[in-house]
Amino acid sequence: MKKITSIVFVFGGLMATTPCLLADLTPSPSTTTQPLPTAATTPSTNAAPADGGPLVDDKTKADAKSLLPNFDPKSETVAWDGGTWKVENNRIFRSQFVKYLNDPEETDKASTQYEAILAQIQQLLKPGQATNENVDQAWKLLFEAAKFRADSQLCNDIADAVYALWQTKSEQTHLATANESIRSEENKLAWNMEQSVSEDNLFAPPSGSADKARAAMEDEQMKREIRLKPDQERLAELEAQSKANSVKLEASELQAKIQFQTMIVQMFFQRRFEHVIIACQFYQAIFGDGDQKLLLGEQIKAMLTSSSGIDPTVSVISSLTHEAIQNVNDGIDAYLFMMKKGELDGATERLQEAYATGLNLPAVKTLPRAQKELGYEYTQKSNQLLDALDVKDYARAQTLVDDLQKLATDFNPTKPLAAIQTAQTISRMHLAKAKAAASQNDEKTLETELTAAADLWPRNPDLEKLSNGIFNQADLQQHALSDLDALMAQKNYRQIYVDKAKYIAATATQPDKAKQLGDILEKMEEIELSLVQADRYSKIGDYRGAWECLEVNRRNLPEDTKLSEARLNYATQAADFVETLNTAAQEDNDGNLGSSLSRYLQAYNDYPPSKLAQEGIQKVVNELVPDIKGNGTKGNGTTKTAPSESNVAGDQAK
Amino acid sequence: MPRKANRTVPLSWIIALVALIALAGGSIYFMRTFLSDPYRGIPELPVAQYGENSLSFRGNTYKVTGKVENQLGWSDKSGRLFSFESDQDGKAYHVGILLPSDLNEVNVQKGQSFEIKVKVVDKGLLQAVQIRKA
Repeated sequence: MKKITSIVFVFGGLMATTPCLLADLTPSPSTTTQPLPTAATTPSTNAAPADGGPLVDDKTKADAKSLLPNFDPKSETVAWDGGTWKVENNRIFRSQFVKYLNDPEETDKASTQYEAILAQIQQLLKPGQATNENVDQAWKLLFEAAKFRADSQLCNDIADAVYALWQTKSEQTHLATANESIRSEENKLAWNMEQSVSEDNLFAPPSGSADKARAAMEDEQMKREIRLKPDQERLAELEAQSKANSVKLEASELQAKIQFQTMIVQMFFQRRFEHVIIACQFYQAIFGDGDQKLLLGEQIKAMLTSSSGIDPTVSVISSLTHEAIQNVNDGIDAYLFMMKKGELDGATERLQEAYATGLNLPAVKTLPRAQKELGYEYTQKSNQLLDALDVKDYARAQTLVDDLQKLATDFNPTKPLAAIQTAQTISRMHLAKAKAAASQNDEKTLETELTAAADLWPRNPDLEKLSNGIFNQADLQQHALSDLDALMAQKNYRQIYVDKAKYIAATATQPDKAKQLGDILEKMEEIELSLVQADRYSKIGDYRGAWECLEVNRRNLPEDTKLSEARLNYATQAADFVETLNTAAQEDNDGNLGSSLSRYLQAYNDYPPSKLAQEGIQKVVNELVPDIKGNGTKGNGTTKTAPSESNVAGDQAK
Repeated sequence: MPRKANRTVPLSWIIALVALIALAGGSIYFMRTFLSDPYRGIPELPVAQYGENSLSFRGNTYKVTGKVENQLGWSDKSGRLFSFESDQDGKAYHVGILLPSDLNEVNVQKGQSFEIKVKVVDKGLLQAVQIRKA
């Protein structure tokens, strides 16, 4: 499962963006010497060039090779473009997975209809049932399926490809008919020539003298050559035309197969497994000659061979697809089973695998949100733990580890605890060195060691204790304190955050200042955390989430330039959403509450995870109906997040 | 003994009479339905303009046709506040409508469509006066 998951997941995105990778095709030896006809109906980047050369030039091949990531199945890592990623543990994937956990299940009428159409197509094309009528009906249904948004027009692509195949077949029939008539004409010419020769007097007994007889014979021979010449030339022309048609016949079928197989493989890597099955069924129904060998490039073949262990054919892709679908269904079952047992770590891992492979499959899309809630909470906390470790907030990391242990019976805290304890130990070692340097009045070493200790673990409580002993030198402390006061007055908290080691030490003997500094550093850590989170959201194109993440913190600290710059950047990417929220807030301030509520509801429907929209709805509702209960994001079994989720919306009032 | 004349009513007369009666019945039914419709003559709320400035609509009565999205809250005294999705000109708009406590008996379920007679009250709030399933 993991192998298929990893291969499909890693290459899926890349294949979608680099179609040239699939075009690493060189025609078979029989076709390299002859020009391949280009299909008029399906112009494609994979089409063979008219000069019969390789389908992709060397430079493109080299570029494509450099784009291909290198997957190491042992460590489940991918090396690409100078970086190495853990397949199932990178930010982009984690963010997408969290988004999935928070999304409602797709059980609406349109989704159900769409799945029903795909199932009907598969049923019509089943082996043994793929009659011409059924194939035609299935082809028509492709256009019905393509109308649904979830389809992304892939059924249209299949329909186009099938149509192109039919046209190729028709072209082949014409070529075969042409060859038949050429052969008939050749036979006729040959017969005429034979008759013509048989009437010659070339071998008649010579009369007269020997010279006269030779001259008469040469004359006869010349006459015969002249007479036969047009027929001989025509025969040669017909022979050449017949051969050219035979080559065209072979090449057009090969070309059609390559194009169709390319589409199948591309859909496989895009994890559109239902479409792969449908495309394979069409392929098998149209090319009923049993030749299902893949004619694609060596890299693609190698990739498929490594996961199946056998030479790739259309049937192999079909069986890999069925296996992937089964694995996804098993993964979902395993997730539900492990959730019941409280084994959230394993359960979310199973769900991640199922999601990575089958994000487009009904089993994944229809998993109810209620059954994903615990997984969501666990995943969020796991992500927060990684973020906390990223920004070296070890106290928070420790709390999160404790929470996760309570939440999941199978959570293994060894690695995070090792990271936390290692950082703490090394930080303490630097502190010990700083202490020694202080006792020897070695200011340079003191500062270096303190900085190193604070860098490793900024909120280390021992820093304060040590500083009490160190800052006997009033000048140094006083200087740092005056700097701190100036920066506080300027609200330049970022600079304070950058030089935190110095200021933590300087304020150690002044509890009031230390508290102020602590508050500032806490605020800055929240900002740093929000910047990391916003970056994660933006990587999956969720600019509204990224902007909102920063907007919440900007209200706490509008002076921070780094935060403001990032926020402005995301605001331009999510301009409509930002404008709706800002207008809603303005209308709320103006007392135009009906409009304000309408806009907040609009923002909430556009982006259900929006906390600002939820808070706005809660605030406006409270202003409109002061004695209202059960509104907002908490309690009363809420829908989406903000308003009430109860299906029987009126029940609560009764 | 004189023979009684055997006179019959022409068939076309009978058909015309039946058609006339049916037409009259249909007209009466239509008129009764039309006249008894409490929403008759009430304009549809222009939700787009309402979203721009709800205060300018205060005191007016409108009709809103929409689908229940969520319950935003409830109060024993004031009633229940719902968000509705209303489509106009092919675009979905979202509005909050308060169903006062005298409409508590109406069973409102998520996803159901309703026709609501609303009055725009203080602060631009839409307050239902009458409600019926669409």
